[in-house]
Amino acid sequence: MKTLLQGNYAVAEAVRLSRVQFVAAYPITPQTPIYERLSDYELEGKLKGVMMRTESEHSAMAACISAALTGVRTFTATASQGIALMHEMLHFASGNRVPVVMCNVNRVVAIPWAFGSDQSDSLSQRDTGWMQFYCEDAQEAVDTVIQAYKIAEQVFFPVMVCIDGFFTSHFLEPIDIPEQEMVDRFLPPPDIPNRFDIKNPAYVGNVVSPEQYMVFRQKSFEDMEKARGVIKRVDDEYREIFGRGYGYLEAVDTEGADVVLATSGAMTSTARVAVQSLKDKGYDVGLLKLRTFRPFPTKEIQEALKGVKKLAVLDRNISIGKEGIWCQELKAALYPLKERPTITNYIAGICGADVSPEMIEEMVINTLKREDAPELPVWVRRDQ
Amino acid sequence: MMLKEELEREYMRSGHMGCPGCGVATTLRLVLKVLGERTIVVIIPGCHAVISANYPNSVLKVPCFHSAFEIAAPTAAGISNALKIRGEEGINVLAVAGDGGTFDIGLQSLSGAADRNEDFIYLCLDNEAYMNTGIQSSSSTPEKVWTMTTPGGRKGRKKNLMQIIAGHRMPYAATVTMGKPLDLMEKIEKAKNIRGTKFIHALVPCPTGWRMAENLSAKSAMLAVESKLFPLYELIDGINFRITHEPQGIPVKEYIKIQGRYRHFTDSDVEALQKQVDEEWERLVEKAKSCI
Amino acid sequence: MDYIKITIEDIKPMSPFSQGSTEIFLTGQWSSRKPLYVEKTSPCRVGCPVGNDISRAFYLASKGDLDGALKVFREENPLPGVCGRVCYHPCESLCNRKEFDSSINIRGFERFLADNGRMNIAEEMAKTRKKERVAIVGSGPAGLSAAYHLVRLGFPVTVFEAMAEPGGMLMYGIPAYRLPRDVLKREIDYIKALGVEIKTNTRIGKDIDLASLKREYQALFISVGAHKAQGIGVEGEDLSGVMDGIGFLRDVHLGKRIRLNRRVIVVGGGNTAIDCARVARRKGAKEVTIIYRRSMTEMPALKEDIEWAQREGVKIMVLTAPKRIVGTENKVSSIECIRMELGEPDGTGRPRPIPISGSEFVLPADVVISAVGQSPDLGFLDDSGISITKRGVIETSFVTGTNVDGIFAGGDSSGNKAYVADAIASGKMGAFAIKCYLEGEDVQKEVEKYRIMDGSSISFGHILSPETHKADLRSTVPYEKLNTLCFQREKREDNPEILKPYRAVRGFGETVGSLNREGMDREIKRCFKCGTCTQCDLCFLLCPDISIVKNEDGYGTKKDYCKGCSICATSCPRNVIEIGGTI
Repeated sequence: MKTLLQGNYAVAEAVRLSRVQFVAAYPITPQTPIYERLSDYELEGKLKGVMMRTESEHSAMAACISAALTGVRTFTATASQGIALMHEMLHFASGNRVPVVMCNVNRVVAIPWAFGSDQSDSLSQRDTGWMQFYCEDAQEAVDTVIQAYKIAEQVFFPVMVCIDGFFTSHFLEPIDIPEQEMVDRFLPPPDIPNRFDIKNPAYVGNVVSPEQYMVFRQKSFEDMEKARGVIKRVDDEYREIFGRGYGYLEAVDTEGADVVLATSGAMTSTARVAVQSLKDKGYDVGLLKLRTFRPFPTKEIQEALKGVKKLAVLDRNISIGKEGIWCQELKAALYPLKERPTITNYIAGICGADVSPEMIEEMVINTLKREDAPELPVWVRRDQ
Repeated sequence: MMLKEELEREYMRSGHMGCPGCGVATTLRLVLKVLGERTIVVIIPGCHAVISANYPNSVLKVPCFHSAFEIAAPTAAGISNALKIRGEEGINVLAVAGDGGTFDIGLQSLSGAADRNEDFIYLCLDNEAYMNTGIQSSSSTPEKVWTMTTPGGRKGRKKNLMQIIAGHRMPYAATVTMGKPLDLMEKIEKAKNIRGTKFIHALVPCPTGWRMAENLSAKSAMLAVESKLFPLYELIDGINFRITHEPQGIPVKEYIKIQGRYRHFTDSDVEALQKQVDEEWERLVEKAKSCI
Repeated sequence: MDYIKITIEDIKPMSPFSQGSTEIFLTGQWSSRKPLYVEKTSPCRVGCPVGNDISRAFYLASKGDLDGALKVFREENPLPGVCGRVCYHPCESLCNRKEFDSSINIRGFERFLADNGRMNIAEEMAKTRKKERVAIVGSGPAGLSAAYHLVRLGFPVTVFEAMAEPGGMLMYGIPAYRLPRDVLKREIDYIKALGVEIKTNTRIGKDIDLASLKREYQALFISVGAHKAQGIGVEGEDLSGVMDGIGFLRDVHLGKRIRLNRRVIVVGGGNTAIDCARVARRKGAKEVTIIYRRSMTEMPALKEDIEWAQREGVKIMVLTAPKRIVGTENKVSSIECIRMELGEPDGTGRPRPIPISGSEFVLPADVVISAVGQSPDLGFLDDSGISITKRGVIETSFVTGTNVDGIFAGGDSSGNKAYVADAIASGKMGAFAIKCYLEGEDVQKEVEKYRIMDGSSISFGHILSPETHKADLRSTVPYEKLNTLCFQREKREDNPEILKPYRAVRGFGETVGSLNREGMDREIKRCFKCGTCTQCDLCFLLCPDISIVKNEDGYGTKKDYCKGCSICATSCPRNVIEIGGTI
């Protein structure tokens, strides 16, 4: 049975169902309803454990890290300035190899001050060593949060689940909230090693030599590579139990298509409408929905885009001085292929600016029309 | 009274890289004697992090975590809550930070944790400057004192941290120093048995940073106490002051004359400092008088 | 599905998880400076004529071992109950605590221990019994001390005493309100219990002679005291009503009927003068005046006794000397005095009193007691060949030897300082010199081994129990070497007054009582215990390198780790730690 819920509340449900033991958070728009709803659960006794209301996101992550090191299941949520403030701690979490799960509700980063969705806040945390998942809708967010714990606690990397501010976080959607019993079947109760065992004392996280530092870095790198298999297995199992799975990415009619539109996050839903409309008009168009950002699904992308001539990449983010971040990553992933598509990057929807199906259709058609891809990204927006 | 066992047991090891005469090493050692083996230590960057040793060694015989500079308090809070969740009782969580990590960069997170009255002991090892990075001024550096970043002497007085602590109404706060080890240990013993956030402000002599002969390390701490410059007291619930040691009241000059960081002090500087010290002491005595 | 369960072993290679020990780093190599524990001699001990190991006794007492503390005193002194009451306590003048707040009540401590501690005679008994016999002539403090130490060294000792009771001046000189006789008798009984034989009513030169003693005993110690009063040396000394102080005190002790008229003048400024004045008040004298030729500062009597005398109504006229005793019908009626002024120091180091001509005045008097000094009665030495000094005392070396082989002398009869403690000290030295003599050792050399600093006393603790006495006798602890930052200022506990002066003069009860336990504990705590390791743990606690280890009898150093910072030595409250090695 489906429940009509805002995305933030749906995430809170997933946290509850995952039997999270420790939550540390700090309010920030548009994440705050998650924090509020978890507070309600705490009061109602639905969230067994500790809810720490920290004085900053930085401290929230600090507390999640140390609690996770002590062997408990942790959660926090943030956005925008919050994740920026957390930046140091993000490195800290992955370096400590803790299975912290965080929901980042994408929002622009000041300045200028604004509130709408923009993936730059989390994408710019690319090299902090976190796993990153971008969800299309609230249902996927719920499922991904539950999956995240199972993945994190097997690979010992922190996981960031990203949803679009306001679009996903605040829109009401009919959502299938899984039964606790089924979640329990899928996700074992927390059994995380306590690194501060007084019977087996150790000094955790101390200074290392340059060579030792490289050894730990290499180990993390290799473990992240191994994590790919875990992500897939967990998603397959989830699909078996709950009937829903997402893969690293979703490729719809991409193989050999004249043009493929690559998107991520909430914009994918709009893109689906636009792609269908184009198909109806007779275009040979495919859709590539990108879900995992780290680890980056290079092989799966290469597979999905085999024989594709043109690729339009729609980015709700911008790396100033280069181009859209997904676009950069796709280009790098496709480079080893002998026959690769020409790639046009569209920057749209930043700060939640309107992106209609018509606008997307136009992008796809423009991509098809061009002989060569433009050097710089194409900015698409309505007039002010 | 300290138990014989508490005095003799040891949770710190020899062979660390602390400077000869290091006050941090001794202070931490004394604290751990009292806290015992059921203790988890959180440290942050600072001299104590150097002393704690490089991978794969540890100077401590208890679990320890090297956290980041500004988060000693929330890190400790995270651990203590996790222990509660895990049902592990009777384990002390000790957050150790220097004056930089407490007076400056970690003040916000300490305030947050204290406000929530998280259950841990916060030990501020105050050696009155950023010593680990090589003697740079912090807001704990005394007025006019030389550091590498205040070559002409620091402007402004040392931050009155205990006043800030008082504002948080912590169940227990105290000033201590290795110069009075039994007083220190008795206070840790008290802190150990109180639930909530306990704040211990330890004046820690630093021969290197204070430009002082290493053998004078402990003696300088005694001089700080006996000159009333660093009174030893407890602060219960942020309101009740109790002086735990009656100082001899020797001139503050005796304390500063052994330290090179005060070398440039003129007679009038010394006089002004003496006046400040006397006034602060009187204020403390007044506060203590009106308390239970 | 297969679930990968992550264990702590899996985590270890993921991020630093350190379980090794820093003890692999031998930081002791950073410096060759290392602490050395060297116990030293406390200034009070240096000041004590008897050489009592005071700081050690205080240390043991601070651990609750009062019996052990008493034993420490008894190692050097058989008469702690006596000294604890009547000693002039030069130890207190040298007490380092004087610089800090006020000196420790050391005499009160000794008295407390003597009155409250338990003695273990069996433990004090000599382990071996030697065959050379020693005779001691006179059972005053010097003789008793020599006998006690000799018997503890294993020599059979016989003491010959002219009077009916042993004790000498302690028995016949010091009034009971200062030294109750049961205290004295108790301590003499202990000496006897250790095996000392005391033959009373045996006067040398009358009941026995020196020559026969010399034949029967392998060594002799003469300590006959100074019981012969010196005259004032003025006209009228033969008048009825003029008495000698020492005879007066002896007669009072013997219970002779003494009637004192209204006005008594005592001439002198020593303890005998003060005792005579105070006894006179107790014997009914309404007006007692002491006349002394120098000023109050120079008075040899103890300050507290002078104060007591004054509070008991004794008047003291200083800078006054007798010129003539005037009598009517062969009976004292007044004394003519002359005012004095102080001149340059004389041979004794004190300013010389100079009469002011024309300042004569007359004081009415019914009794004049002369207490200006005593000398030994050495008639029995006439044919012995023993040298006597010009001052009329037996000539002895520093170690009490006379010019005659095998004969030693001490106490007042060899011109000692006339204080009980000095007499005890000379008895101690005599005992040691006799031991060396009998065992064929070089006494000078032996004494230097056990001599306390450059003083006149030796440490019997070091002689008899070297295993527990390790303090360096040749170094002491000046105040500056203490770390007084470890101490807190505290009020000195004085012995309580148990009789008000107006009641005190009605009898011979003790005027000053023993410290109570609380007061004693405060003094025990207050004592710095200079130079004695009290195992206060400060060095152990302060060591940043965990390089000081606790042993059963103190501390040791982990040289592999000690960085030589010397915090321990600088912080030691009692100056017990020295730094060895080179920088």
